[in-house]
Amino acid sequence: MSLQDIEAIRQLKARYFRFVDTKQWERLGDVFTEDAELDVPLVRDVPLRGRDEIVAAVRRNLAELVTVHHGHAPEIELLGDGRARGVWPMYDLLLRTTRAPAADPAAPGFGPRYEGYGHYVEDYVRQADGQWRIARSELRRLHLETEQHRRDVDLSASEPAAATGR
Amino acid sequence: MNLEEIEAIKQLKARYFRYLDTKQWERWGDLFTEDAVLDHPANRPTPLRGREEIVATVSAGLAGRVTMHHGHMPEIELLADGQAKGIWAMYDRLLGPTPDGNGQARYEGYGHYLERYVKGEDGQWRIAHLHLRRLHLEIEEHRRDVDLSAFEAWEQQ
Repeated sequence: MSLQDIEAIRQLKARYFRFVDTKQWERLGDVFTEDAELDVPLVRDVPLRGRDEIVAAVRRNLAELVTVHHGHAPEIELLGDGRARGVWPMYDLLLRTTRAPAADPAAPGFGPRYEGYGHYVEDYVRQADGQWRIARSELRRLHLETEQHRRDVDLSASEPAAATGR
Repeated sequence: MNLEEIEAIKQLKARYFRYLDTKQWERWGDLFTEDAVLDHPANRPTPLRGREEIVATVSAGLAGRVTMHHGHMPEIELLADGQAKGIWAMYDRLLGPTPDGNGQARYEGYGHYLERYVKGEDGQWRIAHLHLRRLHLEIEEHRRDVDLSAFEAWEQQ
């Protein structure tokens, strides 16, 4: 067991979380292989395929939200031949703190807010430049809590007296 | 990559969190260099300078408050000449009186520590520069009017 490789893979995953949460989209791609796969079954039926598609989709979904991702207690296993696999327990918090876009006026001002718990199950490869990268990442949720604050925006139905002229 | 030094720095930060939350201020102070800088812009516009000012200000600010600090996923990089830098994702929770003292407040914070470390002549790594950037801070306050005599006066009228 090479502890150097295990530490490098831990820092790889730390960068993934940090670049997502600090919205450094141009740096995020480099933690994945060109043909990487990102599978989040609870969000998408079909895995994202390829670095460009992964970064574009993550950016599209998270750019307007505050996100916090924490990884815990990784189990990293080196498989030889520049390959490894790992499991990371995870917690994340996603929320909108600014007014929702006019396209969704029924979610005014606050929310949604998600708190998630689960595991990333991942494959890693060490490439020709010596860098470990994520080749496949699957996020399995143990639990997801969603808080939404919604209302009917059109309140005209609550003014029947005005409608009858009284 | 020297894993022994990296492990020593990880344990340095673990002690930072533990001595802070258990209020062992003298031990906490020894984790900083004499001329350390603690920069927490969301909390104070001006950085704290020097171990004495750091310990005095932080211990006074947290007296009577319960704090919990967790660090996650450190990225430690060793530099030349007994220096290192690191980033820690963090979560903290702080319970205590509201600023006016009339209620209770709970703060939950998320962010990153961006830090520099130096290894002293005694072989100990210490924090030379600590910069806390917040991703998100939630504040919940429980407040009320403490003086309820107006209700008695209303009954008497």
